[in-house]
Amino acid sequence: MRMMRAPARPSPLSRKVLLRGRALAALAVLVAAVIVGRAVQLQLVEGERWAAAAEQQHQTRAELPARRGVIYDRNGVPLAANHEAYRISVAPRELRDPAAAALALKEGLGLRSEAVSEVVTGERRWVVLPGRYTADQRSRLTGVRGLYFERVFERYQPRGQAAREVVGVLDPYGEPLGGIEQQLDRILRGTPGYSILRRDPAGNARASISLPVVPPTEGADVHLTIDFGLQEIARDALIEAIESSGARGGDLLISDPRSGEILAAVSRREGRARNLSAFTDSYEPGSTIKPFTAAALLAEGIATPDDTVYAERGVWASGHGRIIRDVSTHDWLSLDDALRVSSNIATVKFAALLDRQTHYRYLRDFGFGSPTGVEFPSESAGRLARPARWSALTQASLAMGYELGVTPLQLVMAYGALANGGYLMEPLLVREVRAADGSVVARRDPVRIRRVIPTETATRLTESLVSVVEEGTGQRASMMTYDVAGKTGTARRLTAEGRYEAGLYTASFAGFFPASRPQLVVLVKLDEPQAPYYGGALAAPVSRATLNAVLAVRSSVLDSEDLMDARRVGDRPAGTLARRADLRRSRNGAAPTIFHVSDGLPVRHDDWVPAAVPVPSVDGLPLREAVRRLHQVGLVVSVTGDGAIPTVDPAPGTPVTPGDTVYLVLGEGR
Amino acid sequence: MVRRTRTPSIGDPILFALVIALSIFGIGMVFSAGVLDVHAPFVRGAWRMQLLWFGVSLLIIPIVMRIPMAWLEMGAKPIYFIALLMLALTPFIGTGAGTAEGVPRWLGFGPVRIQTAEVAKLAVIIMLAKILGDWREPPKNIWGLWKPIAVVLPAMAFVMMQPDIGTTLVFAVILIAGLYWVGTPLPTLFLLVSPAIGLFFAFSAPLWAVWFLFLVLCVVIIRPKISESVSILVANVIAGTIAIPLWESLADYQKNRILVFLDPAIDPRGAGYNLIQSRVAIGSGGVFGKGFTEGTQKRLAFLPEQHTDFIFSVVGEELGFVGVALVLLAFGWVFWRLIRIAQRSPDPFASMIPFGLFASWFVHVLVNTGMTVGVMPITGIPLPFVSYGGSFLLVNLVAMAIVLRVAAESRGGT
Repeated sequence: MRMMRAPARPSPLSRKVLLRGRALAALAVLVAAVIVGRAVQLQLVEGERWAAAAEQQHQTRAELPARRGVIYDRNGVPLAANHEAYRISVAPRELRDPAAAALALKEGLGLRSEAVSEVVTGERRWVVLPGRYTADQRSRLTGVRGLYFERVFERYQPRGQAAREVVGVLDPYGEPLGGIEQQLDRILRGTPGYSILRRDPAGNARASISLPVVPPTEGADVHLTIDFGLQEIARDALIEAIESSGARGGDLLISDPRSGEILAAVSRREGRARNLSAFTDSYEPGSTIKPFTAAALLAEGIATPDDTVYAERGVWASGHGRIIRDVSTHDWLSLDDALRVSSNIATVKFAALLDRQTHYRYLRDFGFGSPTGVEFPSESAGRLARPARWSALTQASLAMGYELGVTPLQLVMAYGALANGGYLMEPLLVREVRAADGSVVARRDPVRIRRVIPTETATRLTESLVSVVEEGTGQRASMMTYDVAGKTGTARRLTAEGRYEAGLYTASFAGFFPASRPQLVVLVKLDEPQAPYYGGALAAPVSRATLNAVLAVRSSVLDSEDLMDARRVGDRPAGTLARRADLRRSRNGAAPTIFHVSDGLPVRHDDWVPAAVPVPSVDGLPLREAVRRLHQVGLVVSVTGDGAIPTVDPAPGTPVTPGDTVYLVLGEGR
Repeated sequence: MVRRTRTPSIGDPILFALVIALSIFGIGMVFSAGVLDVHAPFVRGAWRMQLLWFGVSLLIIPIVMRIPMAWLEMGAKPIYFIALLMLALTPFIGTGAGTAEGVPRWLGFGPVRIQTAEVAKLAVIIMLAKILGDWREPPKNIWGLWKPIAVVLPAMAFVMMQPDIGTTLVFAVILIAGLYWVGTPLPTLFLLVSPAIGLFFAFSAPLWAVWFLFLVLCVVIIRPKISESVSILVANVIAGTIAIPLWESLADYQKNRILVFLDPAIDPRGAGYNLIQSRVAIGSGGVFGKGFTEGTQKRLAFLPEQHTDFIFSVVGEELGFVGVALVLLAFGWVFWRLIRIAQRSPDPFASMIPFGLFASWFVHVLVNTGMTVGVMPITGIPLPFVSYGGSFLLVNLVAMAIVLRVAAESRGGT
């Protein structure tokens, strides 16, 4: 065979064949060049671009939510904290064993079996189960293929809603609505982390250890100046006052005049705590503004407390067509008297001694008309017109607390300046911000904004304000053991149309305690109460009830040593004695009409004939509640003992007269 | 003689080594194609099937290598007609599979399923070799080409009816290449394919006019017989007229494939999806690739048909440019060996077989790799030896065994 085939090569045909072979080889090389060239383009030149495209296709960032910072009160009581919860989704097509998965869902989450089977066998590719589930419920479903879990945080207020208007809330999407939640959202929110998940074309994502994970930065915790105990006391007192007075709403603020810290802030409108109107709404303060006009006069040396003016016996045509009235008739009143009886006529006459600029400057320096800078959203600046825009009537109006708008917060800070010897403090609502690891990120220290009046002026004015409580319009704010300084206010309210309407008033009381070494400033304000609508009748007792409760629970915000020093030395608590005298008179039979000297009209307490009441039972009540109950029937409470369980002495049921003192003995139980 | 029969010469050890290496590489890639992060049990086990077919092929190769070319030449007609019969029956009793679920392309023989078009390719090559091998000299005109055309045309028609444009194209190329190899003058070949080219120009009337004028000029220069010239021109006119109705008769997915090739962005989620995903996979492989089995586009099943038509994309993604270049180099080398064997074979019949296979595999490699990198439209034809497909691997390995026999005989072995 070899012999036969051998001569076939080389032949002319073969040469042609060789040529054809080369031509084809050339063609192949050409084609190969095209494909290789394309590969070079894709892989070498554009490689990174395609790699990025690939990455974008099959990787997805999954956000790892950051825990929102906890909001605490000043003692570490959590006001707003987080539940860790899970949102659970089902991918029905990925279920290996739908029946087992349905059972797991039914038993693990307590869902109805019809709902579960609808999810498991339904046509939908992705079903997010309604509601949130606990970590415990989630762990029961671990390992079931086709179930997906998303960690979410739920905000809640562990100790109830007492501080709701301060703290604010989160909407269902986690966005803050008002309060500290909104103001410090950026601090509380933290930075979410993310993990890179692999994603297949169906869009399902799964974690992979080979891909980066950036852990979330937890939100920082915020420690407020609020004392939750005081907050609850204030809330209870305000709610009770609103209910008993039929007011539409009200505000109650407690602050420490030495530091400017807000200890309690409560606002109610139409029975709801939606918004902290004590910070955000301004109103015409009425007589509670009078001490600041007096402060300007004293500080400038224009008048002394003993200078007198003629009080026109209650009605004075002051010129410009205005008639100013007082509730009661007086002939001559000193500056002290003007405050004590809250005489509009006398105050206006004293104010006229100030030139407009000075008058304006003092009001301004006390903080009216400018925002306090409190860390709270939508604080109102109030309203205080510059002298250039004043009408001929403005100065008189300002002296009586009209033609200006103040927020309860501004008023509390201004009273704080009278209480602390003349410094306007910056209101503090936030004490500290601490990172999740406990380190202090930011601290708010007390800030003196300015000295408004000299210490002597403040001291002298405090005396005047003590006399308001002891002998004047604010008697119902007085306390047994401590001097209270304060001022009542009853202001006509502007309607929405900007007119004053008969019967619409704001009743308020601003004061501080103890007068000699003030530790707390209290402002009580009631909007549109039913008659009697006087500040002295409605707001002052709220202040007393609040302070008594604070004392009774021995709140840690009080400096007890200082308090001891401030105890009234004399054994004749004037106000109490006066009232006792009244009571005695009433017992003598001649039903008396007691005129409480107040602003507005005289308050007739024809009905005030106290009858004997039984001592209420306080069994099983917490101390604060026990004190409140005793206060409700008009008893003065003195707390002794070191235990936790209060018993009342005399025993429950014993007849006592309102105004009597009963003892709450704290023991370990019987 | 006894001794030689027992240990026949392997013919072309380099070709043998290359093809076996490519096959083993292919099994590896099919294995990798099954390493997925998504649930696809069939693809996961595909490499075992491929390995099984490869093993069976290894048993068959020595047998085929012992078949003398003379016997094969004698058996050419029966082989051809059996293959044609199988191809004709496929649309009626065949089954679809995998990516072509709805299109019957396989014939089942018990547990074994054969892709009849692949068998037909080899059979047509053998039959063509027999016809062309009998020619003493190349035909002088188109009419002289009727026999080889008659051999290929039925197979083309059956495949076209499946429909399978890619394989139809492969048959056409086998025919043209065979005619070229026996010495048909290029102008004659050009006139032969001119109606097909004219089809494409028909979509633009001015372009087609230019084409037709060019054709007339060619006819004047080449000076074929009058009847020939007339029929060529008539065929072109017919092609020009039916082009648009023919286009309209195509299935939507076929039209889409061509349109998308021109601009993948027109349908990125549909027909353009494969093309884009393939480019992303290959491009993201870079120089050295993401590593064997590590291709993310493949793992997450962004890549379509990753174990069959788009196996080359897996190569590109996981082994990078280096892998792509090596695979192309291996195929280039295979082609070079095939042409060399064809050149060196003194027997016209035997010479025709490696050359026909060269044409067939060349189109496969060109179209397959070309489509994965986006220089060719998507026609679902696989990459020889590498793509998953048992009967395709078997047929190709048997064909290689025949080529080895050709090489052995032309070197005087056996």
